Amino acid sequence: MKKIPKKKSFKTPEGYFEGVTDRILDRIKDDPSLSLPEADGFKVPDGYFDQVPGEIVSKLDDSETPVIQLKSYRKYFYVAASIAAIFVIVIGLQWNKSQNLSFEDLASADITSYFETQELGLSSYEIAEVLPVDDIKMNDFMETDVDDENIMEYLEGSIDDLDELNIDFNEEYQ
Amino acid sequence: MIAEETLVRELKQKETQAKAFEVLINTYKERLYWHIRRIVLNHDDADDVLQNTFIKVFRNIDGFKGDSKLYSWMYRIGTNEALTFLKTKSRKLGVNSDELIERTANNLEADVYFEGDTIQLKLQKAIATLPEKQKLVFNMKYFEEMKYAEISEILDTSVGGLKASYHLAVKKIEHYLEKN
Repeated sequence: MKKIPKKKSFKTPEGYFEGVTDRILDRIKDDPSLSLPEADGFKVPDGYFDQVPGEIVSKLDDSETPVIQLKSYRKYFYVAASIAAIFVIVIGLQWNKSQNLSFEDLASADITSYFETQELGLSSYEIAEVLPVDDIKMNDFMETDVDDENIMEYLEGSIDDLDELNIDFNEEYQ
Repeated sequence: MIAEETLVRELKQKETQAKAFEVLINTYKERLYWHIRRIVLNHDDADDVLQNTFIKVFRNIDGFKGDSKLYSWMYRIGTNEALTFLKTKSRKLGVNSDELIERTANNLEADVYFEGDTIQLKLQKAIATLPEKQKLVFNMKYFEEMKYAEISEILDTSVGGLKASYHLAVKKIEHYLEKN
């Protein structure tokens, strides 16, 4: 096939994109039916900004965590920590012998609950961008499995002429 | 006004901390409040988020390395606090953040701390329909009149990306105002 050069055929006047947003805004401002207000319309209770610094400072004092003296217990902690360390090492060695934990060992309910309760800060679109789709099938997203037979039954029940869909049963898509 | 480096240094020293924190609050309270208010819309929520923001700033000032400007860092904390607040509140109500904001914007007439006229109200409703990023960029550029370079530092987005977001936001608002 003849190669199509990737060079852009179209161009814009110099500096077009720099000013286009302001031009749209000016147009909105000029049109009385669309005019955009300069102010946002929000207000605050009288004297709010005078009292808020005091409130913040007092909140900070209230939430200071009290310091708890731990020194006298230190030797007991060493003993407890040593015993705990021995247990951890013994259990760890046993554990390693029997199995290696991997991502597959997590129950899907745990993963679902993690996503529901944690603050991920990602939108569905952002998640979709990083989600590999090659190995995902339609049934992975559905609570009940839908097989070809169910789909055909549905189509037969809801489409007047099944042939209109041009389903090719024998030919594989390339 | 006290120089930023001096203020940061005083905030990190125990002896000068309390006084410096008061100066910090007095310097930035209004700008931060309005930034937060335009995200959460409601005064009581903005007040909560503003207080939490300053407390977080105070607790984390030792970790402030000065790579960005102090106010950019505070704006970033304020923005994150406001968005997290919206997510938590919306989860409690069983909706998502966008639905919550649209709902709040549609009830602004009943808000005693909103005194906007019809067009200001309509503009807020239009802004509420924008995706989160476009909403932030529009408010920061249009109402707060910030430079793209400043917004870029706060939102950690390229200037080009911000210009695109702002342009899209303006187009959508124009479309909304024409239709409604």
